[in-house]
Amino acid sequence: MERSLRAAIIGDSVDALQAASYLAGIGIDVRFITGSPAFAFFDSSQADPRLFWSTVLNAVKNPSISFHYNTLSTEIKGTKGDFHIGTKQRLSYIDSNLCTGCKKCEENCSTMLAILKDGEKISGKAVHKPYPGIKSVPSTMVIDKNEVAPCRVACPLGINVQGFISLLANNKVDEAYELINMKAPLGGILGRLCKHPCEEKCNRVKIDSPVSIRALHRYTYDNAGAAGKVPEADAIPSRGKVAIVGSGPAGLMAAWELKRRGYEPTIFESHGTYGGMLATGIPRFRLSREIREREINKIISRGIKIRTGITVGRDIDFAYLRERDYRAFFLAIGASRNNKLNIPGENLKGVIDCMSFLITLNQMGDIFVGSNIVIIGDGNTAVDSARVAIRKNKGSVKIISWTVPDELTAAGDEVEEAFEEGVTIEYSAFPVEILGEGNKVVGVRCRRTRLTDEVMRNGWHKPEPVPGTDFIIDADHVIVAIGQSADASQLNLEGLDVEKKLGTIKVNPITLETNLSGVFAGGDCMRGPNNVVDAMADGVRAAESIDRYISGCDMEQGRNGEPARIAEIDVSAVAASPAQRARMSYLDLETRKNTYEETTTGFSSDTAREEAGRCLSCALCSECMECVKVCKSNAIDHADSVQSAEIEADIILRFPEGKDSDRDSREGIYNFNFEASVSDGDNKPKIMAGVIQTILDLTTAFPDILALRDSHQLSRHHQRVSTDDAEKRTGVFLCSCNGENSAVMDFERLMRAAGSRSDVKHTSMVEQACSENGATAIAERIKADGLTHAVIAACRCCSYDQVCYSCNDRRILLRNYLTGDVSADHNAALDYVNIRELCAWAHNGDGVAATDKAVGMLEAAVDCVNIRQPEDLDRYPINPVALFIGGSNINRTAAMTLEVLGYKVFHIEPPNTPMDSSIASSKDHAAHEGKSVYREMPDSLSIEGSPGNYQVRLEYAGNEDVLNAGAIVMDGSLPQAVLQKISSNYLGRLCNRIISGTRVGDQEREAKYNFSKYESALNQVGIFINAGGAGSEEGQGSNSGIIAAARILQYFRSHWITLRHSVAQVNAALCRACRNCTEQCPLIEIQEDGNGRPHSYVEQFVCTGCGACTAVCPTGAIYINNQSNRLLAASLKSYLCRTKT
Amino acid sequence: MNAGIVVFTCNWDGWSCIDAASSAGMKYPASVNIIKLTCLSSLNAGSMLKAFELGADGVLLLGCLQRQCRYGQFSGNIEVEITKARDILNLLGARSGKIKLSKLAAFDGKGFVEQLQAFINELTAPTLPVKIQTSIEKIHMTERKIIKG
Repeated sequence: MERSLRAAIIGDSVDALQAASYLAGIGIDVRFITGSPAFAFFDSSQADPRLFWSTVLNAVKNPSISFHYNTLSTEIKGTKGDFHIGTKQRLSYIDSNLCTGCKKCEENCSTMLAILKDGEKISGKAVHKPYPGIKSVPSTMVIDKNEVAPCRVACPLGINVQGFISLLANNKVDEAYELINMKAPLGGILGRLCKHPCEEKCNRVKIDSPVSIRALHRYTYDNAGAAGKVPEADAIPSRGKVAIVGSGPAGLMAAWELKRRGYEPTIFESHGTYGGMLATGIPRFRLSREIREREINKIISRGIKIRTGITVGRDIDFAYLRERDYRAFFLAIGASRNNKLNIPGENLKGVIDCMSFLITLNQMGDIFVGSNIVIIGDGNTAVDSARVAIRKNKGSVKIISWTVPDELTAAGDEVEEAFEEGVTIEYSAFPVEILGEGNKVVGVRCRRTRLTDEVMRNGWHKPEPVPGTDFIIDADHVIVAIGQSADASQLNLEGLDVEKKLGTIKVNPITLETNLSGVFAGGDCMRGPNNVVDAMADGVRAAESIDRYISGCDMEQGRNGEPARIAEIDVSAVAASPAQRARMSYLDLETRKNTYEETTTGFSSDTAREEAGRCLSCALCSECMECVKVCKSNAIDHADSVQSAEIEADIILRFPEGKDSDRDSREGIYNFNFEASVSDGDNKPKIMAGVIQTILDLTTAFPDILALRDSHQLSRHHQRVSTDDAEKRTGVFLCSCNGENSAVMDFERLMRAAGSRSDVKHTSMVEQACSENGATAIAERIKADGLTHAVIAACRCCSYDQVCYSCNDRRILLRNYLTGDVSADHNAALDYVNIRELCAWAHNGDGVAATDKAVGMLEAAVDCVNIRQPEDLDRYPINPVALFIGGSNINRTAAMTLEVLGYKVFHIEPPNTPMDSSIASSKDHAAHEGKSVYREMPDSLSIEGSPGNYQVRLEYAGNEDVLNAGAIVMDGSLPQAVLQKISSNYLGRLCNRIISGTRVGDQEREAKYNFSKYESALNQVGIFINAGGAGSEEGQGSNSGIIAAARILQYFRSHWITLRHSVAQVNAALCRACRNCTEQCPLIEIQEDGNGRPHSYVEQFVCTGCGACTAVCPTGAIYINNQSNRLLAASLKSYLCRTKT
Repeated sequence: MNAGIVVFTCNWDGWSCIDAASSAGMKYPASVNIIKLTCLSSLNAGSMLKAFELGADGVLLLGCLQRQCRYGQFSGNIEVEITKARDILNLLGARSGKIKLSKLAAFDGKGFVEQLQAFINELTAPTLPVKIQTSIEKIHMTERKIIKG
């Protein structure tokens, strides 16, 4: 097979992670699928966090393992070799590869959620760490979102209601304004006139009363400092001219949306002023002229042409417009024709229709009113007219309504205000004649009505007059306000389909297209008299349709009004104390009655904040976008919608939770029941053996994965830097961590201080070192400036290849990026110092002190990196041949396993070593009998050579034989006599010491050294010591043998050995063989030099680097280079004796 | 006055405490400097004394709990070195309490900050150590005896 074998692991546990590491270790491409957002250790008295984190971090570090977090596998389709795993993603909206966990988004998030859990109130922001307060790897943040808030769904314009309210709750008025503006540039009007369908759906009503959304909307507009600021239009070349007839809210919104999409709209308005009903029919105390003009100018000022005084259909016609390249038309002429009563006396002097009444007031600023005013009608216009009249009138103002109080068409709060101002209403009265004297009106004759069962278009019952109940109301001024109708005839558009009775234009409800192609209609002329927000929504919808029409796209696709999923909340789980909605404050009654200006004064900032705080945040994250504004890694994507994906794999390993989980017994799927906890030693070999046996079965089935055809250069491969001291060029790179570090510390000063050293040839800053861009930038500068050593001051603490358990994914990524494709470590020795957590975070209250400290840290770091030698970069290739010394069960099983996989294996066995019956009878043994190379135990055996490539010299009665092997596997049960034979040189003697030391019975030695620690260090250079003796329980040896084979296999598959930096070295000239160090450590022994002079000796590639030997050395002969006394003294000096630079 | 403290820590359990503290947002004074070693057993008395020579007010040694050492070391080594260093400090008349050994479990960030703060408090306490105090008292008493005759 040309590609690597792909294995998917579905699970969460430490066992699953270890399996992943094993698989990756032998060259398999692992896809790790877990439902958790990240790995975290939850306090448990049974498990060891260090083991947990080592396992997690080693897996995360491995480039052959790719992690799929938040992913639940739904079904597994396909067959072995071609599985397709269906998955469902739990969205977190944040890319864990980019997020550095800086928590700026959380600081800036405007949504604080509070829930009741077991009676306790828990609060947290909508964006947070996956397990707040607990370390997680990856360090990413996550966002909780719950469908769409009901208020947002209810809004015809789709304004992000919950969003702007959370911003207001945090006093972010300007941001709230901008958010509203995105959907509703005429928002200032809505804050006064909207019928607030959002409030009708507000979930707060389940606790007490809905949030006063419209009032908060108004508050935003009144208080935003950015008044007048509109989102910038993109500079797109014009995609076509569109004609809009009517400059009311529908027409204006259509123009805005079309302009935003790159079209050239022109509005034709028959009146002299623009705004439609906003300018003509709505009195100033409901919408002031300033607000109206300011809001409309916001739209116009984006370059939209309005031609006033032109009546389309009379002054110009559609043919004319078509000739001038107008490619589509939007009819938004509103409903301006006043309905007539059609009763006698309607033409008397003193009888006026309400539109003329209000227009005159708006345009002239004043109007004549009689003393006994009667308004016929019960809609908003009637009430508006009444309230206008009462301000001028010294007598009475009475509204005549044909229905009952509960079924008035006018909005309740408007009626309330009218009452307060002194307007009265006569209910259930139907005018049948207007009485006059001469040609002037003197009264209205009415008839009582009763409600019928017939339901009218507006949802109320239709009243019918009752004969014989006539009565007269005195009046010297009658205003007729029984509604308006659309009048499409004025357009003179032939063939336009119009509703006969109402006069409204008929349209396709999804696209708003009329029966004439390219002609669209919306607003009151299509709906009949309606609320301003619906007209605006129509304008936006028509613009989308026109865009599709002109572009030639399908006009209905995706728009058939499938309702968004509305967020549900459990009110009992929400922690909110009952509080009634804030009351709007009004001017006092006297002032109110004498002014045409606004009667309400709006909320104070405290009231607004409190009212906004009543919002329950139904959708959790409100998409207010404050987090995006501060995330410099661009890790947040609120539009993320990838919900399901298929992951491909050749084989699958399942680690289901619980004991009796369902087995999936299809071929190629391996089930491991997770029964043992992390620290349960006994079960571990069983599970791991199971995993590994699986792996080994696979390698038999897919032998190519172990293609030994990989080129293995047995020659040394060095990447050397110059050894000449004079050519040492050191660079210092500071990571600002997207501005976080540089906000606390003075980076200018740091760079100056670092650069003031003569050996520092380069200092620079990167934004985010743990990113491809950051690493590439650093690597390029290293090359460009010919640097030989470099300090990266970021979040990583050390340059070792090891993984400490305090590490995390950002630190791992940083090193992976720098040592991966960009290979910065090929050109310079790299060292790292942590200025993020240890300086910026720990001391963020005191920037000067933090900077001071960082100066010392950088200086010490430069000293540390400068002592690195070029040999540090050497890598040693591993010879994939194993030599087994000793014939225990474990050794034999391991050897056989490797042979089956195609590796060359040597055996050296003491004579008469019995073979375990289970092994002798296995088919593998039979197959490979004869292929193994056996040698007798020699007279002496010495292990020489370099790590990973040993030459084992065997001496047989004067004859010498040399075996080359990369791994030497020793049987821990070798008798002492045999051990003596292998002790011809250091490595052999070392193995002897280790094996002897682990023998039961030598308790003093066992107390002093913990030999298992040394063993793992030896494993890394290919020396394996298998515990347990021959004759141990059958089967147990077999399990351990398989695990041993897996460890050796992993070692072979890593191809190279890189040595640790912190190893002990001996300066023989200073050593007087006092044996203090050998007492400390079994790896150290005394050897004689050429002159017979004894001194300590330790093989660097087996030293674990603990340094205990260095502490007890009286002369300093034995030392660790990067922890030497000299270096420590220099670091202490850097920290303690700084002069301010 | 911020006490200049040098913290010698091992790379494993000790370092995990410091990292856990900083990652959780815990604060400590910037006058605390941290030197990372592979293992505390590698530290000799000379390095501790060097810190004092260069002006440190205190040396805090952060190590692992018994039997937790990754290298299989025991705390015997570092305790021997601490005794050596303290003896010399005593000889010089300095307070022997200037060196503190803290053994913490891995990831105990809170423990680190608490131990550090307790150490700083000790160092900045105005009282003289008992030894010198009793010596001075003894001198006074002897003086009085002489005067009284």
